[in-house]
Amino acid sequence: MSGDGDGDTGARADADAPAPAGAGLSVGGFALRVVLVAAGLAALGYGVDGLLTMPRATRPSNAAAWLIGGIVVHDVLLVPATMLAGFTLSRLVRAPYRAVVQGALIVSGAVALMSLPLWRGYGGSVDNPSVNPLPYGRNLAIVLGAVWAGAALLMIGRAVRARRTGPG
Amino acid sequence: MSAAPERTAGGREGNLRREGDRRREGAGGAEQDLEDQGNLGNGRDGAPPTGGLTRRGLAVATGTAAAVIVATTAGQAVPALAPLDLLAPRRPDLGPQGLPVNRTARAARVAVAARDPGYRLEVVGTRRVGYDLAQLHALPSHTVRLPITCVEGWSADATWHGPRLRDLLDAALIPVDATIRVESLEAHGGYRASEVRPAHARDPLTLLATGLNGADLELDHGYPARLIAPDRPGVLQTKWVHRVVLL
Repeated sequence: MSGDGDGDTGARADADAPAPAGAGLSVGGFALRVVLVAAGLAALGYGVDGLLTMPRATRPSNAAAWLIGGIVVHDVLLVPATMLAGFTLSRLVRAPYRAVVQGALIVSGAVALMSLPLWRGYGGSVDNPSVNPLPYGRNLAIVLGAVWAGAALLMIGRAVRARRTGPG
Repeated sequence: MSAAPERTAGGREGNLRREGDRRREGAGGAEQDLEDQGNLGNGRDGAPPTGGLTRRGLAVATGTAAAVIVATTAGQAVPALAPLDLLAPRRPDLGPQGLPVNRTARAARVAVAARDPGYRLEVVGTRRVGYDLAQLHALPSHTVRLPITCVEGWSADATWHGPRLRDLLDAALIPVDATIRVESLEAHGGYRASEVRPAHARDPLTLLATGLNGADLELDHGYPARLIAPDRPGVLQTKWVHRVVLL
């Protein structure tokens, strides 16, 4: 079916490429899209209206810093770091185990990022010890330890299956 | 099934296999087979067999991440998950008298006024009734088990003691269908007072609590008296109450 070189790209396009957007869309499907887009725009408008008309609560400058800063941090820091990690993994970890390591990294990164204000000690209150009351650094280590123990079990399972299947 | 898709699928599979073999440069067929069986590194569901995460593997990984986050934080609101509460900003049993505090007396600037021994609770209806501390504690006391459910996302059960709100309202001749306002010693703040509609005000579980978990209320929980009613957000369970007025 395919020749050398770029042949595989062509083959995959044959098999996987979805129909071009909009082609063959039924009237019902089109109407559904219109409704969904309208609902999305209405929700956006409601949010922006609230953001601008209640500045004491929403602090538009903070919101803008968060919305724009989040994108910048994602594109400038998170994406390159993820790419570097992926590239490194492709050199260091062999095929049946690499997916497990990638999955464990995704889980670890998400958990660590979600709890970052806690284990970095942001927020909280001097006179209110019931806010952020736990040893979060230790707890994060426990959770990550459990995640990687699970990953190790998965990899051991794969290694055992590989041995059972036998060499060659 | 028509012939065309079958041919495409078959061609693709063969093609993928060739690509995989090329990449692995002589890696055994066993490794290829293993990969095909794996949950995460599966070449059959649309992604190239590079040995990395497939689409399904990515879904499994992100789903696992969400599950881990829920499991380690939901305990601040769901009692059954409390032992797993490792990464939430609250734990339902940590705080003065075993109950978390949202706004402290210091933050609300009531620490001095609330400790004043000359404190008086006023209930203003058709009649005006005042209670000093001793009279407040001499009122018939009831015990209820009700949660503080904070809009910030945590929730904790506690045992409260004190007079029923409806008994105080009756003493001031406040009609049963009246809405009342409960006012805090706080001078400022969006939640210094809250309105209590008849359904809440007349509920036998609704107390003007003076005690918590077997002891007097601590300052941060609303000493000398706080509102505690069922089915009410924590921010409306007004603390440091000194006036109850008919609206």
